[in-house]
Amino acid sequence: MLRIDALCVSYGGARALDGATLTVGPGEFVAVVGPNGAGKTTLFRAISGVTPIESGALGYDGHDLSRVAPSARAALGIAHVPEGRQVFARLTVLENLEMGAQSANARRAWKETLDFAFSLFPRLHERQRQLAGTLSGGEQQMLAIARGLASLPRLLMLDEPSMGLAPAVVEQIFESIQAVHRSRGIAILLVEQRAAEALEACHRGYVLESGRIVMEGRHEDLLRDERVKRAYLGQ
Amino acid sequence: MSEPLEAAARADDAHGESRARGIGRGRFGPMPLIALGMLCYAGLAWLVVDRYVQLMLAFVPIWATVAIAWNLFSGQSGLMSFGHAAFFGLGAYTVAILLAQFGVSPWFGLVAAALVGALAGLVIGVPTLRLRGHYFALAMLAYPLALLFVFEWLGFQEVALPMHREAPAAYLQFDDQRIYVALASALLLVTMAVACCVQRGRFGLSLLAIKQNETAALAAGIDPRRWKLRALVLSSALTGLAGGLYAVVLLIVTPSAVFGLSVSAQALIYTLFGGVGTLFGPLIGAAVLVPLGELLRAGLGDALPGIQGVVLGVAIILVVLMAPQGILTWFKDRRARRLADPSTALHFDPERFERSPEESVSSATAARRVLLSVEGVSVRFGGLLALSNVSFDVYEGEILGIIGPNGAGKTTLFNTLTGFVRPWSGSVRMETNELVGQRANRILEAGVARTFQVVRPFRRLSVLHNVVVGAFSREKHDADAYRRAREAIALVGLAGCEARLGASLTTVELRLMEMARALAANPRVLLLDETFAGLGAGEVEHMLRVIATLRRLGVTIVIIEHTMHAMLRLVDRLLVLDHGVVLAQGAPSDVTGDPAVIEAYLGKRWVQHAAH
Amino acid sequence: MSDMSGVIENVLGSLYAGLTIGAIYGLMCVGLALIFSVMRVINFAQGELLVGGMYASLFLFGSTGIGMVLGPYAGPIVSALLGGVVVFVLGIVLYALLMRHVSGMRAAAGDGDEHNAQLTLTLGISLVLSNGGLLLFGSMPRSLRTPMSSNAWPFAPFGGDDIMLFLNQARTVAAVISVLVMIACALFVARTRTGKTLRAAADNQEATTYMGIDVNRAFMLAFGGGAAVTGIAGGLVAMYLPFEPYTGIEFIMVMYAGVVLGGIGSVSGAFLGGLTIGLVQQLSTLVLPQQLQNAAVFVIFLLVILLRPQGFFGKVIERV
Repeated sequence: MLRIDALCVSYGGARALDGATLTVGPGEFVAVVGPNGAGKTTLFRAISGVTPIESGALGYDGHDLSRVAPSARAALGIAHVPEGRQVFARLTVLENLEMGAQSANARRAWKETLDFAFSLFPRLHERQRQLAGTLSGGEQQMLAIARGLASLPRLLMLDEPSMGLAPAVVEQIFESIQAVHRSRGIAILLVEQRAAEALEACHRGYVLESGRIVMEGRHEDLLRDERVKRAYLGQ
Repeated sequence: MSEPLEAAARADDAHGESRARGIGRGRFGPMPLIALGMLCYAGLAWLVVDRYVQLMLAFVPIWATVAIAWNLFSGQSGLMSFGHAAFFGLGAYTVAILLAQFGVSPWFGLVAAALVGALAGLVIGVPTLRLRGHYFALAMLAYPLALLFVFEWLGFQEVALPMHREAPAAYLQFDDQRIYVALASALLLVTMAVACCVQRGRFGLSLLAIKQNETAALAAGIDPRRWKLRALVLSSALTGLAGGLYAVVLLIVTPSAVFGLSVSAQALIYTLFGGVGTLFGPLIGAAVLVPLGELLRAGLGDALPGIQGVVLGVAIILVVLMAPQGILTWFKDRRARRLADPSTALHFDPERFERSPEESVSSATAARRVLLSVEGVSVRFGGLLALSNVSFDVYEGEILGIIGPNGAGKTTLFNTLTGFVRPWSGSVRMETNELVGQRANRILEAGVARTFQVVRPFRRLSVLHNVVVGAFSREKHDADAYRRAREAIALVGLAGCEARLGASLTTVELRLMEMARALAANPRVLLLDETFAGLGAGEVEHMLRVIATLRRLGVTIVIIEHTMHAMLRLVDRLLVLDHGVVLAQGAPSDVTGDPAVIEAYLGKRWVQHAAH
Repeated sequence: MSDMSGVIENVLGSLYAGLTIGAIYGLMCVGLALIFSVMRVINFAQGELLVGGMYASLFLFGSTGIGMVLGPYAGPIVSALLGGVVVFVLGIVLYALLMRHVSGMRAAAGDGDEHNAQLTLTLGISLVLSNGGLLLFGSMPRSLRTPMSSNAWPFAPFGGDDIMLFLNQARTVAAVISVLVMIACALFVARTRTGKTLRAAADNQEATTYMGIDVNRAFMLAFGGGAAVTGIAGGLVAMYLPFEPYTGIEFIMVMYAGVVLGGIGSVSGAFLGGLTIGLVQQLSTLVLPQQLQNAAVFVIFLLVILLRPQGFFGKVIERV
């Protein structure tokens, strides 16, 4: 479904991705882990079109994404839950969710979307008329995920959902992500620094280090592999 | 501490000297040429008979002066001023009122005009320069318009300069308008000389550094507020002087003519058209657009009223869309691109700085003195605790690595150490000197320098000019500052690259240049922020050698980095931060094996899984 | 006693003038605030867009027969509103041709150069529009004269004959329409999908792109909409004030003062800011000589910028 081949991207003057290759099949849960500065966020920005690619192929469902305008990619079924949440602080929770539902299909399914989001995240239901900027970090993350789901995506991309959150909240978030995958069956591409939680939840994983994929495998294999630890903490 | 650094680098001085000759030479380089040009101009004007054309020829240098003065402040500092008409008008009214009401000759009036302009610059500058971006522009817009109404109210709707036929020369009143052309040219000459002196020296480079990245400039020891104020006062003095001469030539002053928006707009447009931040740009802009406007008005003004405004507007729109930095700069950029010389690649002489790997780790045996002591530092941002009770020591001569997951507070720690962030509690001591509460440039003077993650060089200036800014905090004399800069450049392996333009550097060269700038301030502790991010294998090697060299020369280094394999080869000790708390510190092998650290990076369950 | 009445009459008269003129200023400011809060552009040409609305309204009223058909009372109002549509189109064209190149995602990268480029571009547009107007329409002042402009409703607030106010009809009607348009605007921005999209784009451009929204299109709508609102205000001003191509310059300061006072980023705050400026300007006639009234506006503006740049009426949200 998502096919990335030898992708090279520069960001901030430096080579952030240096020939990265990975795939996500329909309905698969794939995790990409790796230390800071490995290029994980740049990967997502390239898929969403916010950062231009230098070379390599970026394919989705047969489309060449580099020919698709950034604002058109969401319509293809790609939802991007950005690093740091990036909720619309001055809009209410409900309005944030509304912004997620842009396509006609998404708008038609609005009621179901709301029901699902509120059952998954009861706290959002309580705070639906509150301004998003006043929510706590964990609540904003829930909102960002729900907002991504509102577009009825076929591929949900989550960029470091654990960043800046307390461990207990992180657990909750990961449980919710797994619940989404179980009930909706959409493909999920999760990028994380905290390898263990990510690898537990996924089917397959990749390890990204210094802009290159250095390992790939099934999640149970990666979880026990010393090399993953070395990618983070060296020899 | 500084001696080995200087001694080793002095050996490089001769090597770099021959390549870099020609830079920084002669501040007043183009002045003789300009003086000649002015003489020709005034001479040519002598041949003109038509009084109207003579008058126009007098206005061109006056407007060029206004534009150059505007450029001195706004072009160099990047702060758009839409209010220079305030200084122009005050200067004009000073001359006019002094003559009309007090009978003071404009010869003195002009001097007074410059002083009044300077004073106005000071009075307006102190509160307004505190403002950022939009607010600054809007505030500056308001001053001349407010003055316009005030002067109208004061009854100065129209001040005519009375004729003094008994001694016209003493009152700057000449029948022959060609003399005004000569006077205006003289004014322009003086202004150009000032601009030359400023732009090529410490003043101009400091302003440029502030324009590029105010935070980095602060870290390099430049005080933005002071330099901006100085630039504004100088600019306003010259603008006031120009306004005064304008009054003398026109013989009548009205509020809307001298305080109106069109005065500020003209200064801006001529400069932007010709080239912002350049020496000749405003001159070219005025020389082209003033006659053009006049010709349009005189020729078509009756049939098509307002045509000169339309043409001026179209000109500025075209420039903004096609050559946003001005026409001159556009040409310069194109020339630079054609002349880009990639052959002066990275040069690192292994013989001089080769050292055995054992040497780097042996500092454990040397006598260890604490150079920098951090105790109980906590930093709050709103309700968030970014750093919590952080304590550690930095030993003289060591390389300390700081690692930790994203958002752990590493950059906040650097910001606290260098004075950009004030801690809620705790102390940072350099030997006996308490650094908390001191401003960034003071901390630099105390010997703590840093690099930044995102490097923004002066794209159109040479590497040498980019680096010398760091030396200004240490050296009062420019010659010494340039010498220090050359030493630093050689030290990082960029010897031979002094003349290359900032825009042509690769990532690793940019990082090395950043380091050179920090080294030019002769620091005792160097804080490096993510120096290895995105570097290729060979570049990592070079960087490692440079840093090892620095340590051997006595510089203590603290480095934030994520590229673990590079770190492990480099550092003596590691410190791990997570969620603002120190998790572990000590020898690298101990730290990377620490379960708490593994958990912070990989998650709690990793340790559980690994146990199976 | 009659002295007292005279003073009270003056005060009430100025108060009323301040409220009505302030309401119209408020509408102008709303237009500017829309553009500024979404695009972060200081639009120098906003004054010319105001004047554009004036000329559009005049033309529609006189030359297209609206005045003929709808009469001298409804006519100017409809012309003003339709004039707003004309200015909307002008705004869209300006954005698509020119502004697009210096705003949008590129400018969001935070490069100081881009920011200055926007300022300078709008300055150029301002010059072209004001001088172009001079070329096209000549410098003779025009006005949309109707019986409303010179008639006033007598109003005795306390009954009896002592204190009598004369409420200028044109200004009163213009003020009422301003308030209605402002309310419509506020509802649009708060309730409609497009309005929410504009607010989202104002809040976070990057996230907006991730939603699949074309930020450039959102900006274009904001620019056109802001121009239209100010244009309508222009059409309303034309009902009681003569104008010529350079009139815009007189109002640009008022608009910016109102927006800053209201708090940059708040559309409703901008209306209140404009209202305050109107009140200050008119009430100052009681204590200050004529020429200083305008200076009073600047002084207020400078004080706000220097002492409380975030304004008074806006909402400030801390990003978590």
